[in-house]
Amino acid sequence: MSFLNPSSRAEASDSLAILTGAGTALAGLIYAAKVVEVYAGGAMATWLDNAQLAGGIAVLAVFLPLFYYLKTRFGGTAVNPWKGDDFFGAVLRRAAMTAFCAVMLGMIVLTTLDTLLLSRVSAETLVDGLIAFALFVFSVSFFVLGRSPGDGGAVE
Amino acid sequence: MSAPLANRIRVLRAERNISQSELAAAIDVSRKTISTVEVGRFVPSTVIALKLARYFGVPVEEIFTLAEDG
Repeated sequence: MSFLNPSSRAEASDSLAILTGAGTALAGLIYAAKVVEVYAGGAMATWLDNAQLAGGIAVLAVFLPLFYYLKTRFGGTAVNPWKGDDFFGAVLRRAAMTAFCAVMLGMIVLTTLDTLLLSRVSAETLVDGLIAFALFVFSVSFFVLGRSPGDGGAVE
Repeated sequence: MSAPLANRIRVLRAERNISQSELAAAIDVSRKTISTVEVGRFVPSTVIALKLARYFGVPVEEIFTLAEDG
Protein backbone atom coordinates (compact mmCIF):
# COMPACT_ATOMS: atom_id res chain seq x y z
CA MET A 1 0.00 0.00 0.00
CA SER A 2 1.22 3.44 -0.85
CA PHE A 3 0.10 6.14 1.53
CA LEU A 4 -0.35 8.73 -1.21
CA ASN A 5 -1.40 6.39 -3.97
CA PRO A 6 -3.95 3.97 -2.52
CA SER A 7 -5.22 1.36 -4.93
CA SER A 8 -8.69 1.02 -3.41
CA ARG A 9 -11.22 2.81 -1.21
CA ALA A 10 -10.17 0.53 1.64
CA GLU A 11 -6.54 1.67 1.43
CA ALA A 12 -7.60 5.30 0.99
CA SER A 13 -9.57 4.94 4.24
CA ASP A 14 -6.41 3.81 6.06
CA SER A 15 -4.43 6.73 4.62
CA LEU A 16 -7.16 9.21 5.51
CA ALA A 17 -7.25 7.99 9.10
CA ILE A 18 -3.46 8.29 9.47
CA LEU A 19 -3.54 11.75 7.91
CA THR A 20 -6.22 12.87 10.36
CA GLY A 21 -4.19 11.63 13.33
CA ALA A 22 -1.07 13.37 12.03
CA GLY A 23 -3.00 16.58 11.31
CA THR A 24 -4.36 16.59 14.85
CA ALA A 25 -0.85 16.15 16.25
CA LEU A 26 0.39 19.05 14.11
CA ALA A 27 -2.48 21.25 15.31
CA GLY A 28 -1.51 20.30 18.89
CA LEU A 29 2.08 21.36 18.18
CA ILE A 30 0.90 24.73 16.85
CA TYR A 31 -1.10 25.39 20.03
CA ALA A 32 1.79 24.18 22.20
CA ALA A 33 4.15 26.58 20.39
CA LYS A 34 1.65 29.38 21.06
CA VAL A 35 1.78 28.62 24.80
CA VAL A 36 5.58 28.35 24.94
CA GLU A 37 5.91 31.60 22.96
CA VAL A 38 4.27 33.50 25.85
CA TYR A 39 7.14 32.52 28.16
CA ALA A 40 9.97 32.60 25.62
CA GLY A 41 11.88 35.76 24.98
CA GLY A 42 13.51 37.47 22.00
CA ALA A 43 14.76 35.22 19.22
CA MET A 44 13.06 32.13 20.59
CA ALA A 45 9.65 33.85 20.56
CA THR A 46 10.22 34.97 16.96
CA TRP A 47 11.23 31.44 15.97
CA LEU A 48 8.13 29.96 17.63
CA ASP A 49 5.97 32.56 15.90
CA ASN A 50 7.42 31.50 12.54
CA ALA A 51 6.98 27.82 13.45
CA GLN A 52 3.27 28.43 14.12
CA LEU A 53 2.95 30.17 10.78
CA ALA A 54 4.72 27.30 9.01
CA GLY A 55 2.49 24.78 10.81
CA GLY A 56 -0.63 26.68 9.82
CA ILE A 57 0.52 26.84 6.20
CA ALA A 58 1.29 23.09 6.28
CA VAL A 59 -2.23 22.34 7.51
CA LEU A 60 -3.81 24.55 4.86
CA ALA A 61 -1.50 23.81 1.94
CA VAL A 62 -0.61 20.14 2.54
CA PHE A 63 -3.02 18.39 4.92
CA LEU A 64 -6.33 19.80 3.69
CA PRO A 65 -5.61 19.22 -0.05
CA LEU A 66 -4.33 15.71 0.76
CA PHE A 67 -7.42 15.05 2.84
CA TYR A 68 -9.64 16.17 -0.03
CA TYR A 69 -7.62 14.14 -2.55
CA LEU A 70 -7.86 10.93 -0.52
CA LYS A 71 -11.52 11.48 0.28
CA THR A 72 -12.56 12.00 -3.33
CA ARG A 73 -9.98 9.81 -5.08
CA PHE A 74 -12.51 7.07 -5.78
CA GLY A 75 -15.40 9.33 -6.65
CA GLY A 76 -17.69 11.50 -4.55
CA THR A 77 -16.99 11.44 -0.84
CA ALA A 78 -17.29 7.67 -0.52
CA VAL A 79 -14.05 7.21 1.46
CA ASN A 80 -15.01 7.43 5.09
CA PRO A 81 -12.95 5.63 7.75
CA TRP A 82 -15.06 7.16 10.54
CA LYS A 83 -18.19 5.15 9.86
CA GLY A 84 -19.73 3.78 13.03
CA ASP A 85 -18.84 0.14 12.43
CA ASP A 86 -15.37 0.66 10.93
CA PHE A 87 -12.25 -0.03 13.03
CA PHE A 88 -11.22 3.63 12.77
CA GLY A 89 -14.70 4.71 13.88
CA ALA A 90 -14.20 2.72 17.09
CA VAL A 91 -10.66 4.08 17.51
CA LEU A 92 -11.89 7.64 16.98
CA ARG A 93 -14.54 7.26 19.70
CA ARG A 94 -12.05 5.72 22.16
CA ALA A 95 -9.42 8.41 21.45
CA ALA A 96 -12.01 11.20 21.80
CA MET A 97 -13.21 9.72 25.09
CA THR A 98 -9.63 9.47 26.37
CA ALA A 99 -8.92 13.09 25.39
CA PHE A 100 -12.14 14.28 27.04
CA CYS A 101 -11.37 12.44 30.29
CA ALA A 102 -7.76 13.69 30.32
CA VAL A 103 -8.82 17.31 29.79
CA MET A 104 -11.54 17.06 32.45
CA LEU A 105 -9.04 15.59 34.90
CA GLY A 106 -6.49 18.25 33.95
CA MET A 107 -9.02 21.04 34.55
CA ILE A 108 -10.01 19.58 37.92
CA VAL A 109 -6.34 19.45 38.95
CA LEU A 110 -5.90 23.04 37.70
CA THR A 111 -8.72 24.28 39.92
CA THR A 112 -6.73 23.15 42.95
CA LEU A 113 -3.69 25.10 41.76
CA ASP A 114 -5.39 28.50 41.62
CA THR A 115 -2.82 30.49 43.58
CA LEU A 116 0.13 28.47 42.35
CA LEU A 117 -0.63 28.50 38.66
CA LEU A 118 -3.96 29.95 37.52
CA SER A 119 -3.35 33.43 38.94
CA ARG A 120 -0.14 33.66 36.88
CA VAL A 121 -1.56 32.47 33.57
CA SER A 122 -3.79 34.47 31.26
CA ALA A 123 -7.11 32.97 30.17
CA GLU A 124 -5.90 32.87 26.55
CA THR A 125 -2.76 30.91 27.44
CA LEU A 126 -4.75 28.53 29.62
CA VAL A 127 -7.25 27.82 26.84
CA ASP A 128 -4.43 27.35 24.30
CA GLY A 129 -2.69 24.97 26.69
CA LEU A 130 -5.84 22.92 27.23
CA ILE A 131 -6.48 22.74 23.49
CA ALA A 132 -2.88 21.60 22.88
CA PHE A 133 -3.22 19.00 25.64
CA ALA A 134 -6.54 17.70 24.25
CA LEU A 135 -5.14 17.44 20.71
CA PHE A 136 -1.97 15.66 21.89
CA VAL A 137 -3.87 13.16 24.02
CA PHE A 138 -6.27 12.52 21.14
CA SER A 139 -3.53 11.95 18.55
CA VAL A 140 -1.38 9.78 20.84
CA SER A 141 -4.43 7.69 21.81
CA PHE A 142 -5.43 7.46 18.17
CA PHE A 143 -2.04 6.14 17.06
CA VAL A 144 -1.68 3.77 20.03
CA LEU A 145 -5.17 2.30 19.60
CA GLY A 146 -4.89 2.21 15.82
CA ARG A 147 -1.44 0.65 15.62
CA SER A 148 -0.84 -2.38 13.43
CA PRO A 149 -2.34 -5.69 14.52
CA GLY A 150 -0.30 -7.57 17.04
CA ASP A 151 -0.54 -7.77 20.74
CA GLY A 152 -2.73 -5.38 22.64
CA GLY A 153 -6.25 -5.22 23.90
CA ALA A 154 -9.30 -5.59 21.73
CA VAL A 155 -11.10 -2.54 20.43
CA GLU A 156 -14.87 -2.84 20.66
CA MET B 1 -12.17 -6.56 27.46
CA SER B 2 -10.93 -9.10 24.92
CA ALA B 3 -13.81 -10.82 23.20
CA PRO B 4 -13.45 -14.60 22.89
CA LEU B 5 -14.33 -14.49 19.21
CA ALA B 6 -12.51 -16.73 16.75
CA ASN B 7 -12.84 -16.32 13.00
CA ARG B 8 -11.92 -18.05 9.73
CA ILE B 9 -11.53 -14.95 7.59
CA ARG B 10 -7.88 -15.64 6.79
CA VAL B 11 -8.72 -19.19 5.67
CA LEU B 12 -11.68 -18.06 3.58
CA ARG B 13 -9.54 -15.35 1.97
CA ALA B 14 -6.80 -17.84 1.19
CA GLU B 15 -9.31 -20.25 -0.40
CA ARG B 16 -10.51 -17.46 -2.68
CA ASN B 17 -7.05 -15.97 -3.14
CA ILE B 18 -8.03 -12.42 -2.24
CA SER B 19 -6.11 -9.84 -0.26
CA GLN B 20 -7.25 -7.98 2.84
CA SER B 21 -7.45 -4.85 0.74
CA GLU B 22 -9.71 -6.49 -1.86
CA LEU B 23 -11.99 -7.91 0.81
CA ALA B 24 -12.16 -4.55 2.59
CA ALA B 25 -13.06 -2.77 -0.64
CA ALA B 26 -15.73 -5.39 -1.41
CA ILE B 27 -17.56 -4.83 1.87
CA ASP B 28 -16.77 -1.10 2.04
CA VAL B 29 -14.59 -0.87 5.15
CA SER B 30 -10.97 0.18 5.71
CA ARG B 31 -8.21 -2.40 5.20
CA LYS B 32 -7.31 -2.06 8.85
CA THR B 33 -10.81 -3.17 9.81
CA ILE B 34 -10.20 -6.51 8.09
CA SER B 35 -6.67 -6.95 9.46
CA THR B 36 -7.74 -6.20 13.05
CA VAL B 37 -10.82 -8.45 12.83
CA GLU B 38 -8.64 -11.27 11.46
CA VAL B 39 -6.29 -11.19 14.43
CA GLY B 40 -9.14 -10.80 16.91
CA ARG B 41 -8.23 -7.28 17.96
CA PHE B 42 -11.42 -5.67 16.71
CA VAL B 43 -14.86 -7.14 17.29
CA PRO B 44 -16.88 -6.35 14.15
CA SER B 45 -20.44 -5.08 14.16
CA THR B 46 -23.31 -7.33 13.15
CA VAL B 47 -23.51 -5.44 9.86
CA ILE B 48 -19.87 -6.16 9.00
CA ALA B 49 -20.25 -9.80 10.05
CA LEU B 50 -23.29 -10.17 7.77
CA LYS B 51 -21.51 -8.43 4.90
CA LEU B 52 -18.58 -10.85 5.29
CA ALA B 53 -20.96 -13.82 5.34
CA ARG B 54 -22.72 -12.58 2.22
CA TYR B 55 -19.42 -11.95 0.46
CA PHE B 56 -18.07 -15.43 1.24
CA GLY B 57 -21.45 -17.07 0.65
CA VAL B 58 -21.48 -18.85 4.01
CA PRO B 59 -23.50 -18.48 7.22
CA VAL B 60 -22.09 -16.07 9.80
CA GLU B 61 -21.44 -18.90 12.25
CA GLU B 62 -19.10 -20.50 9.73
CA ILE B 63 -16.93 -17.39 9.92
CA PHE B 64 -17.25 -16.42 13.57
CA THR B 65 -17.39 -18.73 16.56
CA LEU B 66 -16.98 -18.19 20.26
CA ALA B 67 -13.42 -19.23 21.10
CA GLU B 68 -14.50 -21.69 23.82
CA ASP B 69 -16.66 -23.53 21.24
CA GLY B 70 -13.52 -24.36 19.28
